[in-house]
Amino acid sequence: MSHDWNSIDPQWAWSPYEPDARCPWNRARAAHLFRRAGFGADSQQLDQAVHQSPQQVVDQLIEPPADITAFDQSSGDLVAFALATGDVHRLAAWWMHRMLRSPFPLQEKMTLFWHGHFATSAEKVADAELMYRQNQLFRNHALGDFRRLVHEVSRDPAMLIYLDSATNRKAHPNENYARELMELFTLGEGNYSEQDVQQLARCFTGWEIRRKQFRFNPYQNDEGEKTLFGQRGKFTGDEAVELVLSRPQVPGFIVRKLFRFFVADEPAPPDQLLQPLAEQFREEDLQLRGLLRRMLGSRLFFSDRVVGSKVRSPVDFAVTALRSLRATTNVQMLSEMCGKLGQMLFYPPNVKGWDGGRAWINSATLLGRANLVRQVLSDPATRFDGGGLLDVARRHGKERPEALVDWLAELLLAVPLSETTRMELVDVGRAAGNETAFREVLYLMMTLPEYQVM
Amino acid sequence: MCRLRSSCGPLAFVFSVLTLTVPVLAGEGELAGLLPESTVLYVELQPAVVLERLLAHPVVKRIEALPQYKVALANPQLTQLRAAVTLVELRMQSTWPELVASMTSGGLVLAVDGKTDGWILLGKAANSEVAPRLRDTLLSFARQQAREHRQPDPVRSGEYRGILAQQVHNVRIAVFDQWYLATNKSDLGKAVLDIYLDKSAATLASKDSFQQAIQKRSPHTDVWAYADLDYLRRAGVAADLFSGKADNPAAELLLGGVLEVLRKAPYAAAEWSLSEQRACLRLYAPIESGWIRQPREYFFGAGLSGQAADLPRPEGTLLSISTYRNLSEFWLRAGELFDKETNDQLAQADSMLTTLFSGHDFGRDILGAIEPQWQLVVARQQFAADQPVPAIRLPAFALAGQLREPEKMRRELRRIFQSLVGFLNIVSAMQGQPQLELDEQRDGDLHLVLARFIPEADRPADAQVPIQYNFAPTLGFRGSRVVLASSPVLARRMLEDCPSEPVPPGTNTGLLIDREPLRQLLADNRTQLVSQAVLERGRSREEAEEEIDLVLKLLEAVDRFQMRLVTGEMIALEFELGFAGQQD
Repeated sequence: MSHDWNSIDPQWAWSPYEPDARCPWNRARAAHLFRRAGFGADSQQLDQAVHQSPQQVVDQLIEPPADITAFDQSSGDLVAFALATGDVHRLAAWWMHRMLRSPFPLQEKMTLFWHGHFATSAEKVADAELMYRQNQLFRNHALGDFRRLVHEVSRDPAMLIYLDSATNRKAHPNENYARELMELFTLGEGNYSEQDVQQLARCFTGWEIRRKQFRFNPYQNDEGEKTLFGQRGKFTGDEAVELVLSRPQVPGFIVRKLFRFFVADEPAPPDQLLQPLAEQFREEDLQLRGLLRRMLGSRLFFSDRVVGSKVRSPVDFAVTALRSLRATTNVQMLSEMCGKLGQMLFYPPNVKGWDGGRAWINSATLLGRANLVRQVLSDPATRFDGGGLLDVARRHGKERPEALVDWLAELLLAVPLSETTRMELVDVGRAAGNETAFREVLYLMMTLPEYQVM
Repeated sequence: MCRLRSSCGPLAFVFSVLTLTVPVLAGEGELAGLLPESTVLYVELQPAVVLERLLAHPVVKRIEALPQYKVALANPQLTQLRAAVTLVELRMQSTWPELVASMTSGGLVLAVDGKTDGWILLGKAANSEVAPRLRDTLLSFARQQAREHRQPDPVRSGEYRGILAQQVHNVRIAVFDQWYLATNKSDLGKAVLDIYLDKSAATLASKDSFQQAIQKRSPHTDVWAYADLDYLRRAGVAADLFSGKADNPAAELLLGGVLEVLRKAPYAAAEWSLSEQRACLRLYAPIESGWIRQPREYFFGAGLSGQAADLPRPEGTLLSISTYRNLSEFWLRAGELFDKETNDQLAQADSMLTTLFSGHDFGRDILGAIEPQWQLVVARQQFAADQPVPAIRLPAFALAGQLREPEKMRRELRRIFQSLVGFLNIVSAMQGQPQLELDEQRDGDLHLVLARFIPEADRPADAQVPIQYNFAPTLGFRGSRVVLASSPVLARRMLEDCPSEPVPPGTNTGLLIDREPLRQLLADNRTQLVSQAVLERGRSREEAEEEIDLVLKLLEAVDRFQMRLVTGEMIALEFELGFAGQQD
């Protein structure tokens, strides 16, 4: 997974992917796109995708589908149940259900990205409704206007409670949110001074959370003159956020994080490689849709050096296989198991979010991943397209063990299986040729090193 | 399915003849007369009669009419079973209900023998021809199957005192006159044949405890069972059950008295009956007041005199419980009832409660101030138009009792209630949770002290509220009666002229569940139940809705469920499931 990004021409990298003999548009590359820009694709989606151009598929992934409204309404009933219990763990199960079933998976993937970016933990917020509202905020702006998103996050009750800014008085400006806004959310370390932190915190005085709502308290607002990034003025909180967002480092900072999330975990790419994307993001006034369209439809994204270069997060690990096989299961259990693997939704470890990349994998989490698969496959609630894995395989004409293994590999794996491993899996499937044997093949495939990357 | 249905015609004839000519359970101990004295568990039934009642039962008809039933019948394993049954029918030239009727017209018994640790199935057929024919048919199938799998003949034959005995796998079978047996132990089979051939008098039927148990049997029992508790205790079977100790206070309160009886009772018996109107299960055992040690007197009262009050049934009641438990005695004698760990926890609770109750001893002064007759009601809640409606609608509950010194205790309890609400408000405020508002209502001699959650000021009027809005803690008084409820409406209903259902004399505990409020409660929460099934059981919305609707539909077949613990000459735990009338 180690590449020298310096050797790559940025113009080539971000130009539209045009299939050729060396890099053809096929089911494997379509599966790569669906895995990165969502949570995998089923066999039928891959069939359709290869009959379209890559750009058409990217366009479809980026635009909300027609049936998203009906899905949102149905999902509303589920979240009402989760909120009625006040249990954030049930809310996590609801979100996992969305990831499994949403007709707009990129929206969920971006919501997950923003959840890690603007990390807020229910451990401290301890309120399911506030966590839900924040989650919806991320979803509403998932592929939209970053500027607006930052403004709304700055007033988000869950965020302000998490960063001790629910009460921000002029006598004691709280610097937490001011610091993280610049360091973690928009600019990155080294792009602001300690004085900027203090001055920005003054701008946020009087911003409060009362009865779970944002409120501006003019009596606690420091109306005096502030100096921020060398500019002087009686800046309000909103004006201060605008000043932060107008800094030249913002586009590059966000593009770098999106690159790590969608393209490759490591090594860190040079600024030069990201420059074209950062410029586009700036020119488009921090609109995300165009940026993502270019990133996900680029030559670099579909190149061999990128396919299989990311470690699957626990959520990717669990959801991708189920979604690719149109499986349903006990999502409450699934989300708890992801928690045990280090990615409990709504409970990021700290304000920096999950480290990701190689940090997902160690001997304990590898064993945990195997346990997760075993538990899911043995749970009576787990069904594949409403029945058994054998039924699904039969429907696709993959009941022979060789065909089953190749079909699962195509759906689930970003890197090819060695012939030895392939034959071992075929032998397991052949041993009994029944549901149990087929599930064993799936279990073994999901515990292979090849499945840990995407 | 067609075969099953077509079989019901001749079946009706056979059964009508049978029910006219034989009692529900054949002969008073005729089958027991062939079993050895060492029999420890005995279950006797008339399969033909039970089957006839089941097949003709209105509830079964309702189930058969459900589309899900037809889907379930298409199950491959059931299809295979039906094919096998059809094969037997063809070979025997008789329908399976007719076969069951003729094979078990003299009764059927399943028993466990203590001496050999073996089980035995013993039956009496209508004549001496049908059993050998069926045996030969089944054995020929076993042989055929073995041949198909290229395995050796699975049937071994021998003779015991002139009677042909055969063994297939681990099962020994013998047919003699109208009788037949199947057992997993040769010695047990031989013992039965010895009794039969020698006309031995020392049998289960002659055992005192068995005779006592069978004399207490109700006349219209379809299935009857007996257990030799003396033997089971000596053998160390289910030692925990006979130890007389409960694991925790809740189990002790529910079953402590029953465990006390099981320490001494020589036998226990069970009987089950089914009619169009109800299904009844009765578990009984002898009881003597001398068996009850002092620490357990809280359960039955001195000399088994404890009597539960009537079952209250205010509007919307889905569960009503009335019980005799002297909780003061229970609390004070906890040291003798529980292990050290539980006692440590109870001591901590006692200390905390004594502080909460202003230094009054919780066991003696507080629990002792209330009579030992307790009533608990759970009822469906209806929310007024001006009230916030919780997304999950829980039923309300109320616990009622009688104060021994009402004048003194009313004031004391009211003050403690107010302190508790204040304490809860402080904790809730620290957690950003809604606050409770205290209120009082007086209506003649009826007095309610209540606390309601204040609706959030900026929440839209039609927005659903969290689960805690199901609760409006209420303490109510009227005369000597006291009620602690989760809703003022229910508290008021309990204190006003509340309808009730009398319980028979000797009732220690009565429980009643009504179908309709329960069904309505499930219907109220249908959306939430569907959501739960989607998230926790991987169901699609359509599947989950179908499942909930099936439960609601099945509930329509039921009217009410009752449970009673009755003491007198015997201690009996009685369960009764009442069925709803025929649908139009």
